[in-house]
Order: sequence, then C-alpha cells, then structure tokens
Amino acid sequence: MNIHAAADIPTSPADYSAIAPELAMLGTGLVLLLMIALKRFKNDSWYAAIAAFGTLFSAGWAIALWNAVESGEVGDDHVRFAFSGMVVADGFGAFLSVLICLAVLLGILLSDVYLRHENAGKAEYYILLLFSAAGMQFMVISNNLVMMFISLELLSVCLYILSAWHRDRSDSQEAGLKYLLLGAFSSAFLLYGIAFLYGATGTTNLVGFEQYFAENVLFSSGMVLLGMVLVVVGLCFKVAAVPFHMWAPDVYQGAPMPVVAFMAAGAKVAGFAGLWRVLEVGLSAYELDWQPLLWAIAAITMLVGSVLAIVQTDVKRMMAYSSIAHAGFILTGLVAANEEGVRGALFYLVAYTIMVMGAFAVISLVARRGEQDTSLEDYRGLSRREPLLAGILAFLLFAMAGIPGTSGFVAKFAVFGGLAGAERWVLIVVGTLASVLSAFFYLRLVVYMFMEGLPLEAKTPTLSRLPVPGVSAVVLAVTVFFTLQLGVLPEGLLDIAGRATLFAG
Amino acid sequence: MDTVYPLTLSALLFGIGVYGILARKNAVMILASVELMLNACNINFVAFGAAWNEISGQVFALFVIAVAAAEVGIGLAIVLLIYRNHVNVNVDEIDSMKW
Amino acid sequence: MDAVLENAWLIPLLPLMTAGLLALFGKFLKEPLAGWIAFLSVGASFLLSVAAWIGVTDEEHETFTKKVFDWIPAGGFDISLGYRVDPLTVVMLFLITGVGALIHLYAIGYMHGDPNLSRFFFFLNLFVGSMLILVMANNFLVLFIGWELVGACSYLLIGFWYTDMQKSVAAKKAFVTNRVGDFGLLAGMMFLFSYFGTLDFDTIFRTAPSVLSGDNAWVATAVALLLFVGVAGKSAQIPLFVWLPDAMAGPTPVSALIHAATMVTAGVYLIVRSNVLFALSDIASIVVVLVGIGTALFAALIAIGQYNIKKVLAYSTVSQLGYMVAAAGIGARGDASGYVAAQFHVLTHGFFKALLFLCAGAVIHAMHDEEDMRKMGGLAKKLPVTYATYTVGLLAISGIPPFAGFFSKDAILAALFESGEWWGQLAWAIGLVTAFLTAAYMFRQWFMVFHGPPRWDAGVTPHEAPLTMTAPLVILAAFSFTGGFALDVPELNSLLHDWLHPVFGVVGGENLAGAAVEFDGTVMALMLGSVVAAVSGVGAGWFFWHRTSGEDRATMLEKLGPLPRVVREKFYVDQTVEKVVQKPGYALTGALATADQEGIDRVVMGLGGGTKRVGEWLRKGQSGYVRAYASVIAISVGLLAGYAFARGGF
Repeated sequence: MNIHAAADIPTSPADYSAIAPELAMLGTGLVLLLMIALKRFKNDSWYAAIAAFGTLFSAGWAIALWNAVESGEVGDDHVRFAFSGMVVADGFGAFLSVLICLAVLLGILLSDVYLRHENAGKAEYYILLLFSAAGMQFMVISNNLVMMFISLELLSVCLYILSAWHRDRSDSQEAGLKYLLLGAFSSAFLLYGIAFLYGATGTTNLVGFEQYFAENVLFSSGMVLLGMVLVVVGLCFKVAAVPFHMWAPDVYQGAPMPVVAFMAAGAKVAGFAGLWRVLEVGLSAYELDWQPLLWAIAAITMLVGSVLAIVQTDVKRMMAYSSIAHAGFILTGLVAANEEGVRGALFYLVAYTIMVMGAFAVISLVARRGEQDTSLEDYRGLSRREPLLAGILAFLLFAMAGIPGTSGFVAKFAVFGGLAGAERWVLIVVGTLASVLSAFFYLRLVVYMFMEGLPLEAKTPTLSRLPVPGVSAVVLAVTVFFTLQLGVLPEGLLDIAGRATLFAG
Repeated sequence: MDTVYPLTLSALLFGIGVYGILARKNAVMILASVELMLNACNINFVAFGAAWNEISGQVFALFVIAVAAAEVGIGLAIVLLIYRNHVNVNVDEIDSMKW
Repeated sequence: MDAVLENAWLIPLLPLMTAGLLALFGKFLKEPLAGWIAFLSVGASFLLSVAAWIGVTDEEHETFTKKVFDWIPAGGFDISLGYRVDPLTVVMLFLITGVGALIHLYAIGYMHGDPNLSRFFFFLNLFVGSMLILVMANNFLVLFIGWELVGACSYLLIGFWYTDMQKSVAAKKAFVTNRVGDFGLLAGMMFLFSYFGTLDFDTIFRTAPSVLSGDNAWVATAVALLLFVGVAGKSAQIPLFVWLPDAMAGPTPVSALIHAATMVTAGVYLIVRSNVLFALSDIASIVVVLVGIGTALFAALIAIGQYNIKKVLAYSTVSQLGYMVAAAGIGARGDASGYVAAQFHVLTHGFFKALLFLCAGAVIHAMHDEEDMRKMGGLAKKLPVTYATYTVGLLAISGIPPFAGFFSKDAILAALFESGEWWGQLAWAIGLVTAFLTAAYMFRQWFMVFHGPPRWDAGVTPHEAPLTMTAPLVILAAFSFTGGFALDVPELNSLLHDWLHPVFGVVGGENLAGAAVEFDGTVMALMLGSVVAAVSGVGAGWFFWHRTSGEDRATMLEKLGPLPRVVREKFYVDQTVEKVVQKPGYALTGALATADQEGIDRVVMGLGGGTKRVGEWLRKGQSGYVRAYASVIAISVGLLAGYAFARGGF
C-alpha cells in the first residue's frame, strides 16, 4: 500500500510565497558571496549592513505571510501546504520566522562590534550567519522530516563553523570541535529515529503520520515509539535539554560572544519548533507516550540548569546553564500541550531572545578584547565604574530571574498558566522551585556588581572606561525597552502568540 | 526479502558507529564513526522504502549522503585547525573548558 | 469624594515618581534637599490617604475597587492591574504614610553627611511606594509584585553601606530567607488560580466558602499553609526569623521603617486580608497560632541575653510579630475577634516600635556609632528628649495601662483566651509569660542605656539630636500614648472594630470580624492578668538589672546554671539547626559533639549551601571530555529506548 502524504492536502507545486522569507535570507547570503568574488570592501561593516538589510527584507516577507495567514488568504483554516507538503505556511511558522529575523538582526549588530574589536571580521562570517538563519527559518516551517533534517543540518553546520570562528582563541576551536562531534552524533540518532518513523508509517510527512495513525490500528507501536524517542533526543540536543545539554557550557564559553547569543536564541527557536511540529502534529496520537517523557526532561532540565549555574565562576558559562534552565521552562509549555502552553512557550521564546541578546551585549562589552574578563571577579564593583551598563545588566538579569514587571515574569507565568490548565501540579512546583533557585545566581552577579567593592588585585588601576559603540547602545536600548514593555504591557504579544498557535494539527 | 535482515545489518552498523565514537580518541576516527551511523540510517531508509514500495526512502538516502559529506568536510576543516594548534587530534587532550 | 478614590493610584505613585526623580537627578541635589523632597512626597501621600479615608467613610464606597488595565488577559487568564481602597487598606495607608513621613524627616538628620544621601532616599521612597502597592492591591498578583519589591528594597537598604562586607552578607541572608517565603506565596497563588480561575480578592473571598467545601476542603488548608510560609518569611516567624536580627546592619531609620513598623507587618496584613481562607481551615489555624506564639516566647527569651541595643529591639520585634500572627491565626473562633486584635497591634506596634528604634538611633548617633549597651549608661540627663520619649515607648511595649501597647496586647490575649479552643488558651498562657519577659527585657535595656554609671568609651561626648530627629520622636510618643484607648477599649470604644467590620468575609453566616469585646468578669480578670504580668516584668527588670550590682548578678546567674548562657547563645538554635540540617551525616554517626563553632549565620544559607553542594557534585560530570559527554548521550538514549520498548513492545 502506498500512503501518499499529500493526497488529501491542498497543495500547490511551487508556491514561492510560502518560502519567501527563507529565500530572502538565502538570497542575501548569495549576494554577499558574489560580492566577495567580485570586489571586497575595505570596511567589513558594509557586509554587516547588507546582511542586516537582507534580514529586514526577510522579516518583511515573514510579516506579509503572517498577514496573509491571518486574513485567510492562504487557504482554508489559515493554513497552506506547499512544495508537495514539504513546508507549511501557517501562523506558527510565520511568527517564529519573524522572531528568528529579530535574533539575526540583533546578532548582526553584536557581531559587527565584536568582529571589529577582535579584528576577526570577514564577509564569510555574515554569509554563514544568514545561511544558518535560513536553516532555522526552514526548520520552523517544515512539515516533513526530510525537510526538517536538512534544515537542521544547514543551521548546525553553519553554527559549527561560527563557533570555531575565532582563530586566535584555542577555546573557540575547542568549542567548535566539541559542538561538531556531539552535534553529528546526536544528528545520527535523529536520523535513525526518522528512519524508524518512516518504516512504521511509510511516509515522512507529518500530516501523513497523523492520517496514518488515524486510519490504521498498529499491531505494535514499538517502532513508532523508538523513532519518537530518537527524534526527541536529536531535537533536545539542539535546545540543550538535560541530559543532552553537556555541549552547551563548553561551547558557550568558547565560542565568540555574538555567535553564542545568536545560537542561544535561534537554535532554541528552531529546536522547539521542530519538537512541537513532530510531537503535536505528527505524533499527536501518541500524546500519552511522549508527555511523560517531556515532563521528565523538562523537570530535570530546569533543576539541573539552575543548580549547576550556581556553582559557576565564569559568566559566559553561567549564562549557558541559565539558557539550559530556560529551555526547561519553555519545554513545560510543550508538556502542557494546550493552547495556553504553546502561547506561553512562544511568548517565552520572544522574551528570552530579547533578554539573552541584551545580556550578551553587556557581557561582550565588559569582557573587552580577546574575551578576557568574563569571570565573576571581573564584575566586582562594576556599578562604580560603569553604572549604566551595570544597571542594564542587572535589569536583564532580574528579567531572567522572573521578577515581576519584566518580560521574564510574564513568560514564566504564561507557561505555568498552561500547566495549570493541564493540571500538571508537580511540574509547576518543580518549576517554581527552579525559578527560586535560579534567582540565586542571577542575583549573585547583581551583588557582585552593586554590593561588593572593586577587585583587590592590582588590576584595578589599569581598568579604563569601557567604550560603548553606538551599535551596542542600539542593541541595549532595544532589548531593555522590549523587556520592560513586554513585562508591563504583554497583552499585545500574548494575543499574537495566542493566534500563532492556530495551525494544522 | 524480509526487512529484518537489512534492519539487523543497519543496527549492527549503527552500534559499531556508537562504539567507535565512545572508544576512539582520534577526532578523525570519531568523524568516520559518525559516517557509519549515518550510513546505517541510509540502509534503513532504503530497506523501508523497498518494504513500502515507495520511492521517498531512496531519495532521502541521497540527501543524507550529501549532508554527511558536508558535515565531514566541515569536521575535517575544524580538526585541521585543531591540529595546527595542538599538533595532535586526540579528543581527550582537548579539555581546557570544563565544570 | 468620588474623585479622590478614582485617583487613589496617586498615593503609591507620588513616592515612586519621587524615587525616579531622585534616581535620575539625585546627583545634582544638594544634601538636605533630596531628603526634603522625599519627605514631602510621602507627606503628600499621607494627605491623600486622609482624603481616601474620608472617601471610604461614605457607605457606597466601603470597598472601592478599580481596574486600571488588563495585564495578562485572554484565554484562561484574567489578570488585571487594579487597586482597592477599603477600611483595612486605609488603616495600613495611615501607618505607612504617617510613620513613613516621620521617619523620612528623622532620616534627614540621621543621614546627615552621608555621601550617598540621594541614593538612600531613592531607596526609601521606592520602598514606601512598593509597600503602598502591596496594601492597595486588589488581587494576589499585584500584592505579590509589591511583596517582591519591598523585599528588594529591604535588601538594598540593609546593604546600603555596601563597602561593609558583613552588611552585604546580612542583605543576602535577608534575601535568601525571603525567597523561601516567596516560594510558598507563589505556590499558594497557583493553587488559588487553579481553583478560582482568578486571583482577584473579591471573587476569591466571596466564593471561597462554597468552592472550598466538601471534597475541596483540603485545598483551603493547603493554600493557607502555603501562604503562611510566605508570611513566616516576611514577618520573621519560626523558622525563618533569622534574617531580621541580622537586618539591623542597615541604617537605623531603615530598621525603624522597614524592619519594625511596616514591611514585616505585611505578613500579618496578608493573613487578615485573606481571613476567609484561614478561617476555613482548622489545621492551618492551629499551626499559625502555635508558630506565632512560639515565636513570641522564643524571641523574647533571646532578647534578654543581647547586648546590642538594636538587636534587643530586633528580637523584640520578632516577638511582637509573633503576637500578631497568633492573634490573626485564632481569627474569629468562639468569642474571639483575633483579626481585629492583630491589626490593632500592627498599628500600635508600628507607633511604639518605630519610636523605640528612632530613640535607639538617637542614642547611637549621640554615642558616635556605638551600639553596645555595655558601653552606655547614665544617658538620661544628656539626652532628655530621647529619654522621655523612649520611656513612653517602653511603657507602651511593656503593656502598662493606659499606653497603647496595653490595649492591643490585651486584645490579643483576650482573643486567644476567649476562642474557647485548647490551643488558643495554651497560646494565651504562653502569651502571658511572654508579656512578663517583654517588660523585663525592655526595662533591662532602659536601665542599661539611660541609668547607672556612664560606661562610655573615652572621647565620647553625648549630645541631644537635632530638631528634625527629635520632632518625630515626640509625635510618635504622642501616638504611643494615645493610640490604644483612642482606637479600641472593651465596652467603651469599639472604633477600630466597627471600622474594620466590613472588610471581613462571611463564613457560615457569621462575619469574621468576631464580636466586639464587652466588659465582663472574664475580660476584667484577663486584663488584670496582663497588668500583673507586665508589672512583675518591670519589677524583675528593676530588681535584676538596676538594684542588683554586677557581682551579685553574676552569682545569681551562676545559680541558674547553664540557662543564662543558653539564652545568650540564642538557644543554640543556629548551631542545632546546622547540625541537624547541614550535617546529617555527623548526626547519624554520633559525632554531634565535635561539630564546629562556626556557622551561627550559615543556617539560613542552608538551602543555598545545600544546593551548592549538589551543584559541586553534579558539575564533576562536566569533565570537559567529548567522549564523556557522548557517553552520557548514549546512555540516555539507551534509557529512552528502553522506555519506548516498555511502552510499545517490539
């Protein structure tokens, strides 16, 4: 028998509007590639400007797509499948596509400062960034496991290179190698899982899965479940969920700062979108099987991330564990598996992207050239030297800790609201506990900055004022503004995120 | 042909790949082991494709081959970079970042 | 008076805006100016509170609520930001803005010459604004925001002189303990949200008796106990009281405002506000009463052995908070009107404890930052105003009629006794003993500081404080004298009781305000008992710390055996908890005796420390070796595959 996935699905063979944002992103990368071949600019900032322009272009297309989905232009039920069901145009994908553009844009701005600072600039850097972003965007709209795998590889391969980008820092190369080896290892598991799902159903289309499970009663679901857990492993690796998180601290510590910020935000978005599509759409029939699994992963991710962050003495490493803990919180939105949960998770992703970009902007400035000053000790008495930077970082840390009045609080509240709707009490308690624990390390950094005196070492006199380039100032202003705005007036975004969850499945 | 045979073959191959990654210290050998795992997946795809009498399994295998080549290409480049700094590529000696 | 209530949001906004102003332009303000601006904003809030009070006296507006805007809307959520002005809020508004304004005034003199003066007033105004948000909240979430903000301000102000390492440790300790409490409050809110679908006070309190009945009765207990964890953190109850004595590291006006008069009473306010939830659960009530009265006794015993002038007052605050919590716990059982009594004591305690702290500040100021009472003595003549006002506060806290403390403490003891429950009467007996101890340790302090021969360090020349500092003392002394009989006297005057009556919920057809006290034989006997306890406490204080000479006291102490030392060492509570909580391994092997001396302060960090230890252990897994990471992934995959086969079969 032959289940042709696209049989019952409205589809058009070559519907370029569905992948316009991705094409814009890839196209900009190709333009840059051509420009390098023809003529090199003396000033690398030109490449950054072109990349940023392309990203805006892509974001424009994504917003247009969102509007089309909203208005019902794309088709019945606000959803349309394109390219034989390979990709899907829906609110969920468009929403996350825009978010990825935001991450890329902020990432480009951070990179521009960083690369000039470190003298590591090359146009190729931006090309890789854009291709990686295209991979992420393809990932969030993919409706087929083949598509998902290839997008994942596209974004990962680019990130491997970017992690190892800094040639003068051996930590950077170590980060690249570790990320590569472990990433390839977990991709292999993912692929093996896809193979089993294909074997069990005869298709790799997610909607096809759903139809197949609806129409057939399986004699034994062992193969499906094996495929499912392997796919979950591969995607959990990308979002750095425990116990597949171990690459994250090392890579975050070693990789160049803007890459880390971009990776923390973008790769998480892509990974969660993948998890959501596979589990909620493809394997919705097996909800009772994957929920306990995700439950456990979410719980230990929140706890382990928070606990391990407490013992760190390097700020970049601490941020890695913080990002792991945040992954746990976002996962709880998936565990809830209701509309409020997804809405909360989407809101959380936006809030997290903004917070993490801002935090890394400050950390990167404080670290100075060569990323030397990243230990907690270097933050001692920062408020005396740089009151404004310290204040901004403190605010962002408060937001990450989930203090009311910031986007972080609303985000946590929103995902927990989903859990409450699903009556997952234990997980709420675990989450609250983890958020209390996480307050320790965020506030410890604040204490270092505000309460404790200048470093005792002879380092003090040599510390000059930190120059804050205009581009960094823009990033900081934007991130602080939105973190505050989403904390005080979250209604608009919550509403949009609520509508973004209306997709096929 | 019963699908069980290729599945067994691929499982063995996959197992060897996992073992190689865990047991080998040389980064190049680890990359080679990843190749083994990916090829095990390919065998599965082709076998399942044949079982379902469906073409997409084979198409998928082709994609995987291309992706694997890219991944190994990048991998070797990074390993080369490491080799320049460390003079060897023993992954057990690349542990400056931990805890 | 519609216009006033419609614009009541200005009450917290004024101090908050001033705080913003000070934060931005503080640098450019000359020294006293920053203080005066801060003082004026709180004073203006006080005037608005008076207007709000007049507004609420109108029948139609007994409880005025207004939604300002939807915060987290749509779907299952409906969280709006809004405020509420009702009699209970008004009482708290008076306390916060009134005492707050006086303390601001005092601080202008006290903080004179501090280089970070504008920052100090920025924090202080931020605190007042946050506290006002807390008491004007119309739902639990807004209350929680205020709750967090006051905690943060307290944290910032304790560590205000942050160059001093010890102070920043104390600040951290306060923060950590409060987080434990916040966890309870947050979990309680989650429960409420899931059962009521809202966090709105009106809805929850109105429907609670029906929603939380039958099968859901346990929820009331769970919620009340979880909220009580929050209360214990904020209001320094056993076992979370350890932070408050350490918080005295902050400037004295801060101790007076935050750690005596207002913030620490937020817990009591929360119980009184959620009276319906606590009234629905007997178990919770028993726990609250016993923990409260236990705290009262325990802290009073510790206070006797302290030599630091502020530490004595700090433990006395913990002890008085214990009274309030116990009263709020007994609620409206039997003939009791515990909630009203608790709120009554919040008010009078706010007056006299703020007064005592400010007097202590004046003494410390005069003694050139000396806080050890062993180096004081004979200050009565040098500081006449401070001496006189301190004496008023002293009589008030000791429960001598007709000072304010007498009436409120008596109301609490009466409520405990008349509840008719065995645990209430047990608490009454303990409360009586505590009243005796209170009088004793307060008079001890009085004698040590103001009487006897001077034991000053060389070069110390005490002088009376400036007018900005003494004026608040006099005003607070006036309140400490009149605040009792003006508000509530059995039979004669039930002003506070009638005023608060509409605030309380109705359970089983009965208003939770309880009955106003009528004067009968029992009440008279109880009053007499309180007076006897207080007077004998005064006598004991006089006999032991004034009449008896140093040597005689030493011999007497010796006769008592190890007891005095036990008291001075705070019952070894810190050490014991350390042994039990932090070193269970030692405990098991019987190596208790060898446990080290350190760590009086480590206990609180137990949670932090324990977590840290787990972290230290876990991080060893992060060895830096790629192959180790890969092994973890492989093992996890194996486990998950096992899960898959176990669920699905082959």
